[in-house]
Amino acid sequence: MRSFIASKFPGTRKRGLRIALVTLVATGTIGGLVAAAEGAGFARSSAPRLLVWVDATRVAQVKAYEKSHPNVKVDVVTYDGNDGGSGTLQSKFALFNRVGHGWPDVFFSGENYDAASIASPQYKDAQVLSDGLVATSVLKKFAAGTLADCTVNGKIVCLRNDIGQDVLWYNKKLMDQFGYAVPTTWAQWAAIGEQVAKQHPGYIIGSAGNAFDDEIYLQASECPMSKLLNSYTVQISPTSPNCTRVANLLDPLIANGSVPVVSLFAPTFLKQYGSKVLMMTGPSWYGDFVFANPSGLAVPAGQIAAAAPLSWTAGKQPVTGDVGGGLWFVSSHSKQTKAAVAMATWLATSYKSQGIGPTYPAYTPDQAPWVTAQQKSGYFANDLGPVFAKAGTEIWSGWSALRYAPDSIWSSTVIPALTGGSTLASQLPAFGQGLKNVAQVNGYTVKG
Amino acid sequence: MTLLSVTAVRGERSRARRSSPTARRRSTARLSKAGYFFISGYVVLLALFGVAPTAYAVYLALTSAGGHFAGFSNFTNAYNDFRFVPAFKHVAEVMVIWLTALIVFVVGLSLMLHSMARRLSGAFRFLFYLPGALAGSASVLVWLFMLEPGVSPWNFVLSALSFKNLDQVLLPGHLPVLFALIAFWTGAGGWIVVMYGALNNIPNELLEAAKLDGASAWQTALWVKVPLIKKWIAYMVILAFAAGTQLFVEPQLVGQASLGLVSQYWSPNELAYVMAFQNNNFNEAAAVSIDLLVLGLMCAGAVVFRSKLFEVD
Amino acid sequence: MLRSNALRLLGVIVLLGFTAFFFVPMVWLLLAPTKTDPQLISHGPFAIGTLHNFAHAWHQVFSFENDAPLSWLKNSAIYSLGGVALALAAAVPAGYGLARTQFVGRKVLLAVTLVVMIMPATALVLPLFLEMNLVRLTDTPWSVILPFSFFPFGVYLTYIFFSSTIPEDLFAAARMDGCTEWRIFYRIALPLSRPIVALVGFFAFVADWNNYFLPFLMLPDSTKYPLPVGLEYLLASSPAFNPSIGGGHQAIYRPELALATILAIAPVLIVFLFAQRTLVSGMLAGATKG
Repeated sequence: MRSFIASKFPGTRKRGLRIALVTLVATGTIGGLVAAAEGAGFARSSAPRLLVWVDATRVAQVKAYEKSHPNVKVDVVTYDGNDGGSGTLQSKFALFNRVGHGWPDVFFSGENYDAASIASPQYKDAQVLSDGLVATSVLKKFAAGTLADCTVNGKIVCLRNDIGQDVLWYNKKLMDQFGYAVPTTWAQWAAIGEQVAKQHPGYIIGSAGNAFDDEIYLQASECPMSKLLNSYTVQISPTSPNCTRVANLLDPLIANGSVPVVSLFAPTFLKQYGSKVLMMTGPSWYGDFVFANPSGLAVPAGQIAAAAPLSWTAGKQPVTGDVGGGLWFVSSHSKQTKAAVAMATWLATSYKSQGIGPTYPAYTPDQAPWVTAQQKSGYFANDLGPVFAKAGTEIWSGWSALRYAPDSIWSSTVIPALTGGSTLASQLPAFGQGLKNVAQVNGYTVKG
Repeated sequence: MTLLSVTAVRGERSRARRSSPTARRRSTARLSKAGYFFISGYVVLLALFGVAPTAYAVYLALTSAGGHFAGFSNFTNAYNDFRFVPAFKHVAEVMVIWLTALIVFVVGLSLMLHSMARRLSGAFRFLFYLPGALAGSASVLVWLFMLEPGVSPWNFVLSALSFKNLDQVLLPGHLPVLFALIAFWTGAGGWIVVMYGALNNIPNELLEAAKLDGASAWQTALWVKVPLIKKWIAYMVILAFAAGTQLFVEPQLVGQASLGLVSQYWSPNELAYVMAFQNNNFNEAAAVSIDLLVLGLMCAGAVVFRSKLFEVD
Repeated sequence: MLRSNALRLLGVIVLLGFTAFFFVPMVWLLLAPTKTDPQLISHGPFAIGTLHNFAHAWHQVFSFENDAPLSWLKNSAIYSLGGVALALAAAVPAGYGLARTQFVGRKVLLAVTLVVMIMPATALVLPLFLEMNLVRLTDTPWSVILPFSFFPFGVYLTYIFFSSTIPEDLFAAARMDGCTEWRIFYRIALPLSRPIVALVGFFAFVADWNNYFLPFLMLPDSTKYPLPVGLEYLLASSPAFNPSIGGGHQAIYRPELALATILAIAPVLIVFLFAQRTLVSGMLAGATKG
């Protein structure tokens, strides 16, 4: 090469040498930097180990597992937990499936719909756990209905880490002060809303601007907008009476301001309604993360209590919605299936028996210790235990885990329409149509 | 035959047609070998990280998931997807605002800065550039607060438009304006730096000559400076057009900041991403990307042709 | 006289208006870490908080997940500097070659470069991933640095610069003196090209520093993330943007996110300040005279 340059460009030999030297040094420096980075943790391990993907919050759980199982070698990789529809798992698995390596042995997903897509033929990475890998006795101990989100084609493909069963949160102090009785049915709740609008305008009994409101209101009404009939057919019936009754209930309340169309997490919610929340149907994690949280509503201690979810028929056991909750998966591509299953099972069942963990366990034996730990703070005005436990068994399983999240259609079509002044009744068909479109793109047949 | 050799042969034939005197031909032959040396490093990178992936994307667009030839079916399927037409409508609306604002204001502001003292213009350029450092995820938090009435410094504007909360700001009809605004806020600074640099390279003699001829500041700016930075403006138009049609970051970050009020496939580029990584349909995603490429090339072709961007002065 | 003064005033108002537009959000960002999360909402946007809050936010961010943000900073530096060095090494000679030499395929190269630049990046990531996987470089810094070194935007900038800025007489004179092409590049063009090297280097740095998509897909482990991916991960781990994750002990709220954002953009701004000086020095002063 050098002689070629020298012959074509006489007189440049020395310069050519100089250039070559500089290039060499530069490459060497870059190479050195990279090698340093490699040494500092980029090196790949050679001994058999379990690769675990978790989000930031579950790192503590994995560390606890490592401590109690010193003979198991664990590589922890943190990622965004697939939350908020980020689709990180699906993106990464799409790439791994194409090159044939890279999947984690055990992974956590914060998106409680994920079992459907990860077990689907497109991603095919969920190990079936119900065919003997996890003891039936263990599976049975998960609260009734909580493993529905983990069931694909009749097989259980993941373990539920926690659930967000909806209960009726209320401010005992304000309710007593205004003289309202805690409602047990939706009709009673709406009646209070009418009274509040007249007697105490500005106070609210719920909100209608959150992405997961479809789960709070529609799921609790057994409205069939995302009901799996079989593995390839979804029922989407916006005209079902179970759906329209929700619209008829909410529209007057939205109009009179007792159920505003504002997101609970928007800065303006805090400013406008922070101290004016009379009641709010919401998941079990609202207690800590919305009411008690100094960065949330920061309601003073002793005021917030939880009651049973509202029922549509007086005297009948209510059905409730479920917002959030994480899943533990074992990869079907794992080469250490037994060890991975053991780890996933421990993570889903044993960590919270120590009363730690930020959210309500799906595994029944872990529930009582968790509640005890929560009650220790003395923040809540009543005993959450029985309320949470009962509500945890009342989640309607007809709101199925699909390969898409209805929330995203709700938040991008219904909420803007409500904000623009439309009624929910007029938006249900549009919601249904939006769901139908997304369902079909994801390979489902839709039954109206 | 590789892509490069085919095009090399075609290029040689067209050059031979424009016959030149012997002396020029000899120096042309000598110069051409040096040219290859200069571009060699870049051509390797271009082949590896530009041409090969683009060719693969074209291959994906023309085949089905199993690798069989699929003709244009990916393109028709993508077109019939319920998300396709709305996405393109959205970016068309953004483009009108974005392109006009960028060209007019970037050139205008650069000219204004060029007529100032160097230190002062340096300070302004820095201030204008600051938002450009906030790429993607870094600006989610900022925009959540800028757009939320009640906490935003722009509250006087938002309340004048009678927006009481974020949901009202993000009504579907407002989104094109909003995204054009955010894209301008992030992108203008960088282009102002480029244009200012281009203006700064205009030889002083030309400007002095214009002054001597009696031209005012305005006239110098319009009739002397602008034509001299024509190539840079052409380049900016091409890239801004492509960036506009390929809008991705702005709808994505506002969607994240608002916890889902903007759908994840609002723009065609987002749609391609969703098709690839959520629906696992890389072939249709590639088809949408090729659609965007064709749009960008049509604009590029028109601009290159009109501004003679490929000719050397 | 009056007319030009009125125009001047208009110009000043327009300039100040744009300055406010660009700068006000940055002021908000700078002041945010000095307030607590509730204060961000209850106090005004320009209220100044306390140094104590700032120190608290600082501690929260930097101790997140075993000092991950520091790793992110280090990774960003490695990926960006590596990418910039290689990009400049390729783009400056290439732009010169395209502008000042004649060779078969010159226009084709320009056209191909333009086509590849306009191709949406989303479509290129899968093939890039497959390429890197072929040479077993995924999950290493090279999987990010090598694609970064391909910087067609920079090639066009250098091409336009060399083709329109340096006057033809310089080259003609050199050629008449019998200089070789290489000598002309090295002795004449390169020294005069400091502004464009600074410009391209700066833009390459910013593009590499702010790149999210490529590192996100190439690097699965959060300790190897550069700052943009790390910041996105921080957002996803924050109860402020992800209410249902049960954040609890992470305690990354909005002031901490603002601080992390400032950390992510500070190096770009520092580099900009340094590059500005070279970017705008008029290099032609006196080049053709005498």
